[in-house]
Amino acid sequence: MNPLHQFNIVQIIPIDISGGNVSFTNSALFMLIAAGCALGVLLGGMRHRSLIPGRLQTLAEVSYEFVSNIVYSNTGPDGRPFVPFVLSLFLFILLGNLIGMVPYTFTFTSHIAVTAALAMVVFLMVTVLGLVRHGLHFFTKFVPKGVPIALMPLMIPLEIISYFIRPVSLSVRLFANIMAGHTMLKVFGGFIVMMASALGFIGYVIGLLPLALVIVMIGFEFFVAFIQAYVFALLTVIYIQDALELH
Amino acid sequence: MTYSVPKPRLGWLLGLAAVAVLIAGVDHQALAEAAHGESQAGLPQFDAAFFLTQLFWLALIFGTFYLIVQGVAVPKVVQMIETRDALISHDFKRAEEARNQAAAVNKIMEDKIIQVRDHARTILFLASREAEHVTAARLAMFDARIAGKVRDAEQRIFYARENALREMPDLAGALAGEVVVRFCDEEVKPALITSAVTRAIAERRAG
Repeated sequence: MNPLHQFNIVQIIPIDISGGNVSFTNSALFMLIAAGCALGVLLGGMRHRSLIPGRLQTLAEVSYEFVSNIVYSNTGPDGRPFVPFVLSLFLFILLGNLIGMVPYTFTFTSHIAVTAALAMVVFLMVTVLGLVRHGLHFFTKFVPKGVPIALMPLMIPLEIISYFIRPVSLSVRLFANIMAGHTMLKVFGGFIVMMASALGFIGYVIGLLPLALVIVMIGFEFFVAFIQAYVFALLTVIYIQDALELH
Repeated sequence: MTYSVPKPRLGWLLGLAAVAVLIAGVDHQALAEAAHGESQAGLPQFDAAFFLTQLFWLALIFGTFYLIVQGVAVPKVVQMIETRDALISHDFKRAEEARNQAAAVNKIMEDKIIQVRDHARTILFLASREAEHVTAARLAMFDARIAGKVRDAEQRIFYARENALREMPDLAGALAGEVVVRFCDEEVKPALITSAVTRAIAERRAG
């Protein structure tokens, strides 16, 4: 009944490379499933490419257009090379979240190690992009415009901190939302079982209350699963746009 | 349709770099210790024993996934969408052209209708004028003919009257002679009767 038990990582195939544990785990398995599903939609939908798309093809095209619209509406045509990256991020996180909603599965996006790694990739990519594109001029980013000189000693550190806090907020937002949602579902689900087993018939009746709550929360969690993937992709695009244009 | 596959190799290399940095940052000593046991306490998310494996498989799976999306899936989708867009805009252009063509043909037809109508109106006008002329000529002819006939008839009437008037004194004289003989049983000289009748007729005419 431990609500955190669902986050345990279980080794499926133990692998050890020079003292480092890189075992194939349930986390890796569901990453594989999520990526496989995403590729199944994208490549499967593009197998019989027809002018009037079927269901799978529509899904593939809509996914692409959804992400490309986010990219182009923020960055303009400059963002074109980043569409595949943002699409990969969005689909990987979205499918990780959605597949995690199936009972007895594992949600790899509920682990800080995964979300932090993804956020660090975004952060480093955006930073290098800014440096490559603007050279040393990139650092003027930390000097806010239209601020009195007297306030600069305060503002510049704030700008720098807010820049370096980006990967933290990006990763914690996703991990915390997913973990909290899943923990809550488990806790309320536990209430139902506890009442039913401890109070007999009355327990069944009272248990309807948390059951109704769990049903609502599951719907909400599907919404969160989408929203968090969307927010991650959107913030990535905003950071890319920020690096492309500085201000 | 030309489509060049975008080649953002940068992002992928950065991904590898990021994972490499993170892996290097992991304390392998602590990791190995944690793997041997006391990993049940606290959140599984903060169990450092499983950081490396997650990063390793994430890099492998997400990296491969990204490469396939970028290299295969996105070009296919983009090509599909661009093909469709090009076709749709091409169809729109053709529809626009057809519409313009139809409008031009319609304009020609309307012009022709106006022209033909004007022509018909002219013909009608000429025809009615001609008809008027013909009618007028005929009427004039008939009038002349009727007038001639009337004149002839009047002349005949005039002659007939003149004749009648010329013969009247003799006839009236004879008649008067007879009447006198009947009533008076006496012969009167015809010259006397004739002059009396003539005088009476003249008096009548004057009166």
